[in-house]
Amino acid sequence: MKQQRGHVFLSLVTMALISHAQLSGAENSGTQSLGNKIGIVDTYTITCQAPSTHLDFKLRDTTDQVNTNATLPKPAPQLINAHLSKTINKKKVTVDALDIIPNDAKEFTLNGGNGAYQLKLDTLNTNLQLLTAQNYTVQYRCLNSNGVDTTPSAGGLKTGIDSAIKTLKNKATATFNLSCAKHKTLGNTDKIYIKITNKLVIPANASKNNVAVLSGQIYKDQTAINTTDLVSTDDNFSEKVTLNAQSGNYLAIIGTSATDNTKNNAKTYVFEYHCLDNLNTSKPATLLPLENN
Amino acid sequence: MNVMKKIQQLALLSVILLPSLTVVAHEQSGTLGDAASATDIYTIVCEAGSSQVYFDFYSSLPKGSPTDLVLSAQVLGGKNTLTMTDPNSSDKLPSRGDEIQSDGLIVLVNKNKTGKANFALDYHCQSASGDHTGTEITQIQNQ
Repeated sequence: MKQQRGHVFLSLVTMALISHAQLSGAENSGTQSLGNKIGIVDTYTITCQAPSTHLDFKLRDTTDQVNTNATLPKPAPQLINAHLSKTINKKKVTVDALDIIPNDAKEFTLNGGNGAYQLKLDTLNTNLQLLTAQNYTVQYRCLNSNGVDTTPSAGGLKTGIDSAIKTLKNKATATFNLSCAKHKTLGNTDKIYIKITNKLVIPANASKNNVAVLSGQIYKDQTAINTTDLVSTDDNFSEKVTLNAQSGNYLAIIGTSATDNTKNNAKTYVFEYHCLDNLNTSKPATLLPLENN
Repeated sequence: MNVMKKIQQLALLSVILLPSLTVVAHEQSGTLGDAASATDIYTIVCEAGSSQVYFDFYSSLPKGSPTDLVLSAQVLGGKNTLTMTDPNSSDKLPSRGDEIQSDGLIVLVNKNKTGKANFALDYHCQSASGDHTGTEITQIQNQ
């Protein structure tokens, strides 16, 4: 990150103001840059205010973005749609989560109480020019009115965690039958929670010959997680990762896998960070640069 | 607040709290699981009087992993945080090595994509004159 010194203080103040202003969703670092030298990293402190329980993080290598956008039309993305339904008082009630693009997730709920729910996925309006089957994961939870898990059941899915990666071909559909029951001590189910993540399909040769790719690590309290953006010429972020380390200071490390001094290894990048509580409600976050290389 | 100092203090505390996992060696092998986000964490602590730590690592791939899978390690504890990459997991050559001016390190090991991987950390604490000094390593996250 090579910013003019005169702008550094202003940038810090701007970041802090932005961080406090945008509490409804993920916050953005703005475009940053990393120099050419092998082995260098940028580091940041991301502070999640209490009662945060976790930090979501993803990053995007924007190095080739200007040239790419200037010379190539941007292809429409592949996408997944989700439809969650339940029959309530003899009427079918459906909640839709549409246009889930690669490396993005949508979370939604249906207040349907105890009983059977059906989740259907399709690829309506996807880019049919892209023929690779899409990868995705499913997560579900049955919750009472206090947001506490009741008694879920579903064939092949565990509650509260992302499923193993599943595939969905263009024009295909997938159906999941989910059930929520009354818990003997925690009471009735109030709603079902669903999270669908569209996992990016990575070109097989994206990192051949060790092309320097951008990665980020989040570290706090002796736990860490990693995410990598393998393709710098697209608009997609890396996989969103979550570190469950409560409130406080998270260390973010941004670097590349560069090993060749004869190449220009400089990068530009952005990252998104999002402090959340146990009900996935946004909590205030602040961003502070530590090492700017 | 000096975040790096705090991280080092936490690392030293982990060594105290996890004596059963502590071993004395100059090479530590490990594995990373299938998830692209998988990260292993180690702390390396040097005996009193040490002033630097040498570090590099080797990566290799089990059968079935993508041949273009590449491992990296982030090294925390010196004046600056560093990242090192073994550019080829199919040869027997290590990542670049470095001598980090510190009496201990936190090392994060991860990879660029989904697939299992093996690695061996190569490290030793040194005095200012380059003599090897007492070295302890502890694994604090295994993914």
